[in-house]
Amino acid sequence: MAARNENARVSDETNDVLKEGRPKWDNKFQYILSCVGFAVGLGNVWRFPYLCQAYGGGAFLIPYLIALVFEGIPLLHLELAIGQRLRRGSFGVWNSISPYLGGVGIASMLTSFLMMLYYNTILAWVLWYFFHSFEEPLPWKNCPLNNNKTGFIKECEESTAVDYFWYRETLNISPEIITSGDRQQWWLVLCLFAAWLIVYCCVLRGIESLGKVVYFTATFPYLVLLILLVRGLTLPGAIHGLTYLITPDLNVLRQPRVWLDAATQIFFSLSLGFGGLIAFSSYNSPKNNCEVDAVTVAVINSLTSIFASVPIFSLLGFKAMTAYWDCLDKNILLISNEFEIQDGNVTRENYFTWLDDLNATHCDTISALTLKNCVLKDFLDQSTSGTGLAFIAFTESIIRLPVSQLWAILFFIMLFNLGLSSMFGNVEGILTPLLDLNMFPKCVPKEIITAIICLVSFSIGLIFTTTSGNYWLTIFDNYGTAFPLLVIAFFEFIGVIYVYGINKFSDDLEFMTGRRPNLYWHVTWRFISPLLLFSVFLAFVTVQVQHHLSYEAWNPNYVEFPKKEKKEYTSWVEFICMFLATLPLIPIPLTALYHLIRSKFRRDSQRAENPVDNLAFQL
Amino acid sequence: MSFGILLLAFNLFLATEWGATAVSHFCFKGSPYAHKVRISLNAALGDQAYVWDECEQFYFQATVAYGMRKSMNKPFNVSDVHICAETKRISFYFVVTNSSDLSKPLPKTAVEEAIRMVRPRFNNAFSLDDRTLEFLGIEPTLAPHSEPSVMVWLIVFGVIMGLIVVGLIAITIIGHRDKIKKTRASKERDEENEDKSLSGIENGISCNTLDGTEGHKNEALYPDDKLTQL
Repeated sequence: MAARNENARVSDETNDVLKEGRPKWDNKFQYILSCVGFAVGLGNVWRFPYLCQAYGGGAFLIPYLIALVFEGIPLLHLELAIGQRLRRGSFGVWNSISPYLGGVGIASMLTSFLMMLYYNTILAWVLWYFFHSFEEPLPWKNCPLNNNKTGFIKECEESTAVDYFWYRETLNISPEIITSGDRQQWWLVLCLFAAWLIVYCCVLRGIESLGKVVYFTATFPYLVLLILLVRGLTLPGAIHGLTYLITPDLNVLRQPRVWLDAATQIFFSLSLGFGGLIAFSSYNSPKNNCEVDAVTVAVINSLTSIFASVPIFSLLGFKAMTAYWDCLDKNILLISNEFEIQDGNVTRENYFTWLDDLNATHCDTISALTLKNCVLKDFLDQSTSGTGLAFIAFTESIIRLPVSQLWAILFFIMLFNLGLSSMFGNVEGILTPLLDLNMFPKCVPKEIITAIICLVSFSIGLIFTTTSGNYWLTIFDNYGTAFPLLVIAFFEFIGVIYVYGINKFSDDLEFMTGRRPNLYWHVTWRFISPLLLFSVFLAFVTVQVQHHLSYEAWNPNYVEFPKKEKKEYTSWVEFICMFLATLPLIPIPLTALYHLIRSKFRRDSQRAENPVDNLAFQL
Repeated sequence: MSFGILLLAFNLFLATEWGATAVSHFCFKGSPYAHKVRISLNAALGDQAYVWDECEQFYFQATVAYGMRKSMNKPFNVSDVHICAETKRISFYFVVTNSSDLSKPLPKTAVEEAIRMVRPRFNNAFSLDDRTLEFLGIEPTLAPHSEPSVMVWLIVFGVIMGLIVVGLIAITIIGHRDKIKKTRASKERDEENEDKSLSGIENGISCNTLDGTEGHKNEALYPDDKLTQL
């Protein structure tokens, strides 16, 4: 009976909704593509393959899939459902559930904002590399000459041309995080401006423009990955890279670190807790099957990660192979020159037999030569993740391919699109609640508000274009977003399941999808996922606290250069780390407190449920 | 007469022998006048590699003599370039002597200067490059680094920025036009409604106000099971 009353109320609200004038997606496909684009980001390409390889290849899929089923999909479904039902951005949604939980929405907005600041800097770097991919030869292929033209620049000689281009010519990185004379690098400012201009152009009209751009930005990366897959599999050494990636090592599952990394990877990969997904689903029509959507988006995201590992690791295998061959060739040359063996007699295949023979007869001479120990596995072990993978490892393998410009251009456009579609989610995660809150007067059009947000983010983002910008970016990445998201997600569960009420939520789901949530959803939402999140949060904090607050600096004057120098943060930088980690979370208790105090001073906050109240007489 | 000829021949023979031994004085492995040359034919040419025989050696001597002529402007000959200590690696030492006096080898610096001057021609003569035709001790001067790089990336940047700005302007104009169209369409609709309402006035209450879009629901009038159950 009460349910029927609810349904009547809800159906009336549907009629209201259709007259509301809230923008909506042109079709379902745009919505799905936007969600997929938001979820599939740079992490799918440069974090998952690394984790897969570091944690025993195929064996990593086990904790990954478990985390997906028990943590990723439930939370994703929750966010999509609540956004679609309450038809508001993140702040509006949590405020509707309970004013005391409004802080969760603000926390989401702040986290999205922090993410926006530094994420676009990464896109600026991608743009920089993209602009340079049109050069012949690629600028990261050769070391530049020094001033007297007698040799190469020392920093470049000691490391590699690729490292030099990244650390010196792109970042112009300082040896430590606090340096005097820290200037904005004009080329990075230009690229950051271009990146923000592109983002603004796409989100200018909200989801009307976004929905159309997403057709390209969400699908093009798949095309490039396919092309790279085909190219990668034909390269020598690809097989080694792939076997290295896939070889399962089940012993690795005993380490608790694996489970933590799998859980955090799923969580961050699906972009949960930012409020972007809530914003996207709030533009849906109420009768939309969000359950199927959630499962679809999550599965596509995971499949993309797995699919992306194949070309990445083929190319990394190729890079290791060529490095191995270079090592062998250098040794062969040394031996041929020393023993005056005819050029071409010692080949890569018979190098080791020659070495053994010579070692037997001329042991001293051999040991006098500085022969390097060439082992393919050592080169394969040099895999990295993050910016190191994209801008150092991958660029190095690209320069060895014929027609390298083409591969570089394709790769960087792909990276840019991956990041751009994630940026859309972040921007909408902030814009939608702001617009719902009606914080700006009506005369200010949406375009101006978007422009203000982009401008403010660009200005603050100029921090990351300084010489120590990369170090600050790492801080923002590690502390500003990772930690608050876990807390926000936990509150989301509590808020929807226990404050809003699982029964009310099930009714809503029945209205929207046509059936009530089954046992799997009940069990995961009520118990498994919040518990899992809580334990992940504890484990995460423990690990971070144990790991001393330090960073690795690129210091050409370091004794062991080109190894990175491990430095500790100064105390006020540590303070900033803590501040960033807690800043987004401050609104949660603050809002609750504010409402508590307000309700104490107001006696008539409860509107009596008078069924015979003839509201039409209130004019 | 024949004895004279014999003596001349003997002298010449002695001279060449003496010349040869004289040369072997300064053309050997550690000689301060000799440069070591290393050639990697297979690395450079693979299947197309030619065989390094006496003719190639002669060609080498001739090229060195050419270099010396160009550099010092003195008439050097092929016979002034002496090669020794050849190995299967294809490496050997060579010494250049003064054309007038066979016993005077030229200092290393003079030879180095000559080789540096004609290095590109040298490489081309043998279809080799700096890496595969090595003169130990004579470092190849590195190719001047071309610097058009700044221009190219700025050009691409400019193109992309231009496209974005054009896109922005297009979107703004289209949006503005759409807005004008919408307001015009809604104005027309309002006028139509007004016409309708004018014809419908009977007792002064226009029909529009009766079924207005905004209204308060009188919840008392809804069939509420809670109420009707007795």
